[in-house]
Amino acid sequence: MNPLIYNIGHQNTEYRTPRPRVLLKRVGCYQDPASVEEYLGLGGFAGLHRVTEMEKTQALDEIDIAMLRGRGGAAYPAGRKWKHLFGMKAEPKYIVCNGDEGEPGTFKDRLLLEEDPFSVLEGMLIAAYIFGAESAYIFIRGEYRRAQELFRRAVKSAEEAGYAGETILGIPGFSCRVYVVSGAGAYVCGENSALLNTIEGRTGRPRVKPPHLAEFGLYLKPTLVNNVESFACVPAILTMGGRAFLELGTEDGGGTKLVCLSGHAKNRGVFEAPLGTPMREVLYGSHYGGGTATGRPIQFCHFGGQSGPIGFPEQLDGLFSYQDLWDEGLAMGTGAVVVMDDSVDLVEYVRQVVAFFVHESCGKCTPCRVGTMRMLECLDGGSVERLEEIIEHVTNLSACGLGQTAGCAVGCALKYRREQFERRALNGVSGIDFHRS
Amino acid sequence: MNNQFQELSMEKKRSIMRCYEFRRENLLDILLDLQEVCPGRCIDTGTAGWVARELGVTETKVSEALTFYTMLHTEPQARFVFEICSSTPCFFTKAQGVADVLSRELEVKEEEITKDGLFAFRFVPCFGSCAEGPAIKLGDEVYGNMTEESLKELIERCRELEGTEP
Repeated sequence: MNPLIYNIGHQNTEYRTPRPRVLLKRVGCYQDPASVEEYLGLGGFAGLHRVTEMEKTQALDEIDIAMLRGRGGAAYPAGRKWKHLFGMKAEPKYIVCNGDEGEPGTFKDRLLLEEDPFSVLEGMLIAAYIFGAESAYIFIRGEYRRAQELFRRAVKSAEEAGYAGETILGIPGFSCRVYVVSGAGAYVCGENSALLNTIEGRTGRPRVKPPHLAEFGLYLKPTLVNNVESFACVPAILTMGGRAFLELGTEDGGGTKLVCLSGHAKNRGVFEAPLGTPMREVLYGSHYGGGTATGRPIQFCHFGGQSGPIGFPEQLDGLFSYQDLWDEGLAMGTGAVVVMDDSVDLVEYVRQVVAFFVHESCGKCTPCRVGTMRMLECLDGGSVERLEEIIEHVTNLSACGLGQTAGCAVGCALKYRREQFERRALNGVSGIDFHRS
Repeated sequence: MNNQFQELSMEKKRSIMRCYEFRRENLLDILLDLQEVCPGRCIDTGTAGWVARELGVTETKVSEALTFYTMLHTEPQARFVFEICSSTPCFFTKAQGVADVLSRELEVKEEEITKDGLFAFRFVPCFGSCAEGPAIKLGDEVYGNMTEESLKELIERCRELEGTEP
């Protein structure tokens, strides 16, 4: 009986990932991941030094050229987001790192936070420098108490060494305090505006948008919210240059991506794949997923968490890149890939996904609060047409990303495997035994 | 004895507040830490009211947080609560089997507390241990790749811990 915590597959990643690593290069190299001396010894803070030597607009250009897309799921180009915020006049500006990582199937942020927290911190400090922010927050989900404690120690260690807090690097006017804030088990807090509400001490329900968070964010001030992995990419971009980062990936998205393989994959864990790696290599390659543990064929893959699309084998011939996935009606999302073999009942799978959303709907808007429950009822014994109608309602009428994506997985399953649902519906309620024995 | 306990507990509570510099932004941190040291591992109305006063927020605000977040509890909890991940990567790697074993071994249903007040189990959404499914969480500790054997071992380990400080 071993507490797993620190070894979630990445130990093996070292020899499994064939090409040079960017985000995982320091993982496993620390005695104490919260020691700033060790981080410096491993080449840390080079990006922060670099940014202070260049014009701020030049740094923004580098991030733009790098074509870094948000790694939390929305895939919004970070360069565009940062430039937009840079143009905002109001003061102060806030930096917020989204470490909620609530998407089931995703565990890459935990790896970074626990094994290389300074890479994330450095990204946040680079942003603080560019935007002149004096307060930066990192919101880490309540389930990751260890990561929170470690990150607090890392911040303290950085402060003592002059890399955070007052007069960073001895540069007058460059001061930034970094705060760690915990969640307490609510998926919806991963939604950026809900996350900001939580930091403000309010209950974590999403705000109505617009206004955009770049304009009215934390305490209604201009705010940058990025994912843990996105922030960790930033020092790499500034160190290697935007062009080199872009060239690691594809035109529509630069760099490498952390992939979380779980479910029935033979090799489960966090892997670093250059964007543009063939999808089949990620799923079947011995350096990555290695097919299924049972040797049975892959029936489908669920991408990007519970809110993401389900892809079937006929859709998985392209590259693991943003554009190729979009072309197939799929999405990268958080980088989660839940692999399921043919022993799984697809309808039962999507039922479990919908049940998750019923549990996690915050209740603020009716289409999501009621609609998710109606979807579940349909799966427990309704017509396919009715299910489709409700999915359309929930997707289009919900106020935030949670409701808008709650029907994504079931929608994909309906589109490509409709007959499985129809067969169930024909059999009638009594023929469907979803309930746990 | 009782007074001593209350004083000790109050001193612990105060030190938690100080640790977060009485910041409202850390409301959830404070409630989670308090829950760890409070009897029954839950936040009662008295404690909730005290938190509200110390932070300068309304009791409604604290109460809202307590009922909104799944990790916070207002009712006394079992000493050891096994939280089984019910999200798809774990669920389809036999999380139900984990529940079945726990139910059989502990002779309780989901959310029920054993007669001795020691054990309970429940399903919770993903806590980020998908590479080790089926995974369970016990306090802040995560245990992965659970089998009937490792579950029984874990239950035994808990029984041995019985009577020690929470």
